[in-house]
Amino acid sequence: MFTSGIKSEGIPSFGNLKYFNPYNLMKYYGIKLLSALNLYTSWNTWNKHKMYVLFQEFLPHNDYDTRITIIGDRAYAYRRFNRKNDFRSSGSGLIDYSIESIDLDFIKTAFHVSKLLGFQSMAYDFLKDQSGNPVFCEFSYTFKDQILYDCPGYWDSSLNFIEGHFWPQYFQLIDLLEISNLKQPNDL
Amino acid sequence: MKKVLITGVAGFIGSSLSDMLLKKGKYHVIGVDNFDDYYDKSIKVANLNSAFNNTNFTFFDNPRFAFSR
Repeated sequence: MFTSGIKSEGIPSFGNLKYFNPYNLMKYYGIKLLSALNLYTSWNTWNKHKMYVLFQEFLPHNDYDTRITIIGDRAYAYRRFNRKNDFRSSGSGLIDYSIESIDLDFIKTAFHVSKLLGFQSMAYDFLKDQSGNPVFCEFSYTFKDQILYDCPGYWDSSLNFIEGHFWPQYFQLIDLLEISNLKQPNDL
Repeated sequence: MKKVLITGVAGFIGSSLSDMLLKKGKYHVIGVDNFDDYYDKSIKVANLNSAFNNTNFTFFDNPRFAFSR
């Protein structure tokens, strides 16, 4: 509100300060203090992420979400059921890996978005709206590798299912380093 | 020859990247890894087998460079 400060006329003198603004003064000394304590960078980063609220429409009758993870031209998919007495599925640990339960439209949509936006690796959480149309709940660029490894396989971009257990890092490296014959490790 | 520093070089990602760069023959790779116990150290050592045989690879087992090869 008072970004340019308040003129010092009529208020007590502050030496060479042309403007007096208590907020700026506190900010100035606050930054000096945080810098001295090596905390300024983290405080500043946090500070950039305040003063906003994100609202999402509540979509009832979604007992689970479907997470599709696209890495290059591969799609992992599984369902996550909601936590007990909660509408959220994230972190519930109630995972269904059965491939026959996966809506292939989710996979097609996820492939399309990844291609459109140029994502090398991205996870998409799908819900359905009241009319049964797919709705994105969230995109995530980080995800837990073990859950993907535990999937029974993946779909390619032609929606053929390839069976096996694959670490996501393995596919990410194949794409990034362009090493088609990279050997998958037994453990990571 | 360009020098490249890779942290976590003994892991799957680090060792694969290191091998690829060394194979190109245009890079000297400086690898750092503290061999934490997230998984078996012998696997990590095995990951570095080919790099250790390359003269363009220098390894340090902690960020303070207490050990060098």
